[in-house]
Amino acid sequence: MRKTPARGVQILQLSIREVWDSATRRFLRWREPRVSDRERSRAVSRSFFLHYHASRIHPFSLRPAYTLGLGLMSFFLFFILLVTGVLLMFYYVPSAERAYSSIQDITYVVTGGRFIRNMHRWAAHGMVVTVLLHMARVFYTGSYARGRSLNWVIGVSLLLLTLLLSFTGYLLPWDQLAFWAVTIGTNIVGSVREFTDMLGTTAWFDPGGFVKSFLLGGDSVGQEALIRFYLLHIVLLPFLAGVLMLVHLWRIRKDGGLSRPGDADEVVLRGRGGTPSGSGPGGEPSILAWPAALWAEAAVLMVTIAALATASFLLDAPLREIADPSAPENPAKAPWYFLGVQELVSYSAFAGGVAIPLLFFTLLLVIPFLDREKDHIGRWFSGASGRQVAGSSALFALLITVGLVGVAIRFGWLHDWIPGLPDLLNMLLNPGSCVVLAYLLFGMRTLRSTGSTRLAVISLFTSSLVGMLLFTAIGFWFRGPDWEFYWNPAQMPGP
Amino acid sequence: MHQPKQDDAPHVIARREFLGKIAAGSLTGAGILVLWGSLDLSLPPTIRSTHPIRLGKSSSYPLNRFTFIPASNLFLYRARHTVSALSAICPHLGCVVRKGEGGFRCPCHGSRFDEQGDLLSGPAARSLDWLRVRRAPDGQLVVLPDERVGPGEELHI
Amino acid sequence: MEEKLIRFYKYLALVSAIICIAVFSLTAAFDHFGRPWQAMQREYRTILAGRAQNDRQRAEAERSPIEVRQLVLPGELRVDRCITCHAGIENPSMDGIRIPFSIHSGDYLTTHPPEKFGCTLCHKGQGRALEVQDVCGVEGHDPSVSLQYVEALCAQCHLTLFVNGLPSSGTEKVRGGLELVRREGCLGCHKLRGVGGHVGPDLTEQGRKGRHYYSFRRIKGDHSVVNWHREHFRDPGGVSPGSSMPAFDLPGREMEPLITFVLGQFSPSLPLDYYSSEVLQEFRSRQSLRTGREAYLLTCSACHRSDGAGRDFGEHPYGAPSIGNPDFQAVASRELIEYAIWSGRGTSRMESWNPILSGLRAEELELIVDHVRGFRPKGPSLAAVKEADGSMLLGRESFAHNCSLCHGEAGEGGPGPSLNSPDFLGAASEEFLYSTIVIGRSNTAMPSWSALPPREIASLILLLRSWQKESRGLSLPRIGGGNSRRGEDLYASRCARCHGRFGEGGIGPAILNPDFLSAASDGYIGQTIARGRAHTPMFGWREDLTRAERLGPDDLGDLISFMRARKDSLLDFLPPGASTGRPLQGRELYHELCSTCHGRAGEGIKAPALNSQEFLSGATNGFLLATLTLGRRGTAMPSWGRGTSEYRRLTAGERLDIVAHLRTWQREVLRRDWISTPEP
Repeated sequence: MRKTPARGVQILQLSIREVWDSATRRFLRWREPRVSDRERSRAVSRSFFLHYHASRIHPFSLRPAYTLGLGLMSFFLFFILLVTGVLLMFYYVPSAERAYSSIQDITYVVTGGRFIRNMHRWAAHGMVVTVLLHMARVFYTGSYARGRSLNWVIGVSLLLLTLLLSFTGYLLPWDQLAFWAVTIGTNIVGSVREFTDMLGTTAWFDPGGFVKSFLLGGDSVGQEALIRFYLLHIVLLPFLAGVLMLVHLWRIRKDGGLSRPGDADEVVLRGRGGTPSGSGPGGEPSILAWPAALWAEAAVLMVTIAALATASFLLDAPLREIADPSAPENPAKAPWYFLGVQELVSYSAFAGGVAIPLLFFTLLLVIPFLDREKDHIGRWFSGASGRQVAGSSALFALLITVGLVGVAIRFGWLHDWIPGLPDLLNMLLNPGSCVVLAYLLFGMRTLRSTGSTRLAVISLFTSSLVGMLLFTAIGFWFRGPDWEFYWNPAQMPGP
Repeated sequence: MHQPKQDDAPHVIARREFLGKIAAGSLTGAGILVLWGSLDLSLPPTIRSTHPIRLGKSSSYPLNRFTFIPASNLFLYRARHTVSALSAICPHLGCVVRKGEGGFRCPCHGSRFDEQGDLLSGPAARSLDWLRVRRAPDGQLVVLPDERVGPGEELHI
Repeated sequence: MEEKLIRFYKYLALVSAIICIAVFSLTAAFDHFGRPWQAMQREYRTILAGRAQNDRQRAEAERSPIEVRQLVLPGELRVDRCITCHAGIENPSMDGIRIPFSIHSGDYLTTHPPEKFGCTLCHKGQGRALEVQDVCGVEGHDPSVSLQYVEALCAQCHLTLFVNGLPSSGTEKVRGGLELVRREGCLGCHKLRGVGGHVGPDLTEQGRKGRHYYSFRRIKGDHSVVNWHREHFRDPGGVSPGSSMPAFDLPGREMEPLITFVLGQFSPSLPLDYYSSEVLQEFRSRQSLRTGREAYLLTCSACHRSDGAGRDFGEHPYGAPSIGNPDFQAVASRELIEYAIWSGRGTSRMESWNPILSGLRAEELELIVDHVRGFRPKGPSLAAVKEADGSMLLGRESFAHNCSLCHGEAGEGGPGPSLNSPDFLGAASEEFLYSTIVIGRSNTAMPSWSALPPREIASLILLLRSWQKESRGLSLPRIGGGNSRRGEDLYASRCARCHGRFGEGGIGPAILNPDFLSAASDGYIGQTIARGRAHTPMFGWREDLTRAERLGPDDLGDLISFMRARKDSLLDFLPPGASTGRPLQGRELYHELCSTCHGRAGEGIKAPALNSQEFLSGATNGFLLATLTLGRRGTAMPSWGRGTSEYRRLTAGERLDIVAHLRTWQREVLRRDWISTPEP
């Protein structure tokens, strides 16, 4: 006769069975094909991670040539940076004595360390590039209009955060490159003091000194600065950026999904051959997010990782000699995304370091409010006239920038011709400000001749973009020791 | 006489409003204090270079020349009867200038200054700073790096 | 349409994922199996097993794990992973195998155990790295010192500069470099360990300076620190524009040790037990240099050359006076040399060498002064002169060529005292004349004629004696033991008006001059005071005065004892001596004749500067007159007293005028505060 199991054992057996069923059910559900729209819809809306998507999207949003996946790329790069960053944190020590050797250990000894460090570095540079390109895409397709202005503002803030994240991370290896780039960067920030000095208010109002001592924890780059940069880089800035990104993505949904042109419905219907498959509210075509959107995102993710991994496999992140505060690099160059600013700063510290960047960012922020037109959304350059304006602005920016800078370098500028010129005028009329003024005037001329705020804004944006690229290029290739200009970079004396 | 009911009602509503308002105000105030306190904490409490720099006796320095003091980034000029101190920090972006023939030169963006520290050319907006030199009770020279003085001012020894 | 897009994305995702898998797998495989150091260790394992002498050893060798090995120095000073590849470095059975498996050469690891020293302390490089290019440096890392210069790292702990503390073997290059430095006088401009000049940079930490401390802008060869030094030594002005360093175009067998030496300059930064006690002592407070010659060679010879020959003003960015020149030595007093060394010349070329600035001790500076003074020709002995056979002809020739310039054609006097006075000749003995001629009178215009051969000196004395007519000896009671205080008063009231307040001379000769006092006997002095000198302003204080003003024997005794006592006391400055010339006329002459080389304001163009306060404080009018009169043979300074084919002869009056003009440039008198300066 078989003994019946004790009550306790029975309960145990039942519990195990329940847990197993529940787990496999949940797990196996994923393996069931989602054949009905309802199931597909539920896959998205009932999942914690996926319900960020709307369950239905407009098919136009899937077109790769429209968005180029740049926003997604930026987001995925951020995610990769988080993961690789955490991995690096296993070994990195934010101490001035040990930071450099910990990076050396990561690179030389830790299994996969060199690879992960490379991925982190190239993802960081890549993210700055994709964020800038994404901003350009959003701008040129006019996707800041029609109620998307808040999202635009959030986007510009994210650009700023991305640059700051890259800048704070730049210091952490504590090598000569890092140390001096950050010294230059913080001095640029501190150059607000030049302005308050001129006004005579530095004694009681010194934002330049304030920000500089907040960043540095002292008056020069040292251990305190390293800890602050580390804190900003791994906690404060990622947290802010993450939160803003979540809001940014949520706003997309609230703003009615990705932007699209007025004739998006027709385009989609033409592409399908006339038969809609599923209707969204208001009668426009829509499809389920599962699985179309997810495949699109998966593709962008894998392309990003593949490109990043290949780059990391082939190219090593730089590591120069350990930082030596008594031996400045000559030339000491800021990270590439600040080189344009550094070039402007070499004309005038305040104008180039504070006034022009502030102007630039303010204009960026208020673009949605400058452009009062409503009907150019969703199309690149908003049509042929937009393309033309962009082209002519780019050409104008090229000519005027190269021209003025060339004159300034070859023949000198106002303060060389008129030695007694007061400091204020020197600051206001330096080559950088004159170039920016030219862009502004060209933009206003566009406004007056075409009567369209959208075209004027395209002109301003394009000329500023081209200008920044040119200044960055000058700073990168043509500036050598003592910040001297070399017409032929090959003649630059070696290090 | 029977008072109309409305007389009582406004007082009750006003008190509730007041409580709500003052509660909200206190929350805001507390929040502001938290923010301000965090900012205040994050500003570094000690800046290293505010104490004066001791430089030893004037007789230790070569005559009629600028001697560079690396730790404090300044040049000390000793003449036979006077001593003066010139800051070596470029007023443009804070790089350390170098002494050359006929003046000083900043290696970062090429600002040039003459032997008096006056600006000759370059992106810097003003001349190099002369700093206050004092004599300590034991006769040593002491430079106060935060106190700027006019270009002709010297310590008489 | 959406189907096509979805399919497109699926394909894109697939291809990218395959690329990812490939890259990740490759990376993983490389990290786990493909690293060069792993291959090295496997090879080593094979070699070890091959050399095993029994089965147990072989099994052990084959089982040894493939892993990163490192040496962590005490206190985590360094982490060196070199032994990952250089696995056999301590294994005696690895003799004769190729690098990297072989045992370390020599017995260095016995004296420098790896657990304490690691590898990079001596070989530099990135110890934490595991691959050659990372260790040796790409992109400006501090490269592994090539074995050619490894001795520089020995110098780090073993080099002493001022004593001989280097180990006897294995340090030939560094020793060679040290010898060169001691010979070429590098410390004249550079400081090492607190000693030296400050014209050039302090080199004490030069070994610690990596590539970013150097500017390679004008370097033609490869951009390494070693080559920078090589090119810089050969052409300092070309590599560092504006540099006043002379070129050292040395052959390879001297250049390489010198470079090794320079690269080996470090101040102690490791824990103290790594250093020899001599090195630590040297940094704390070094031993003094033992001889003046050592000190001179170490600090002066770069500019003044080891024999004092100096550097030509035309050849070099700036000249350096030839302090070994016999004419200079003849007229320069010890005080002049002391002033030059202790106060410098107020220019950036000849800096003050006082102990605070130079790190040299006071006694070392005195040794240098002695050594410079030692360049003066010794001069014949009294016996040699007495034995020599003088001739009147030679005497007249010599007198006309040398002495008449100041003492007059017939010895009647001029700027110098008259020599033909019978009173003088009657009082002066052979010894007195000999001393005066051979030693001279320092700080006056009377040079030391020690370069003259004994015969010539004897001839001069003969000539002088020939002027002696009758000798009027004067009998003097014994003069001795006077009251020098009273003598001082007497001197001040009677003698100072002609002989100078400090006895430095004026209308009369410098009678408190130490050289005079050591040459003159009491009798000579007594005679001269008592009798005076006929035909000169010196009247006989006993003979020629009325009773009231006459000096009696007691007075003489007091004066003489005062003068003797005065020999020992030292003024803290140098009285220039009276100037009897006319400054305005001197200025005209100066502008006409001297300013081309010495500059209109004496600032020095092709010749030394004459207007510095340091120079004028150390150079008496006598020195200036004598220099003018005699010139400097072998240099561009002519003898103005004799005249040359290019330059006319200047009379004594003209020369005195020029001296007076030079003296007008003096605005202050620098004190000889080194006399009582305590040791820093």
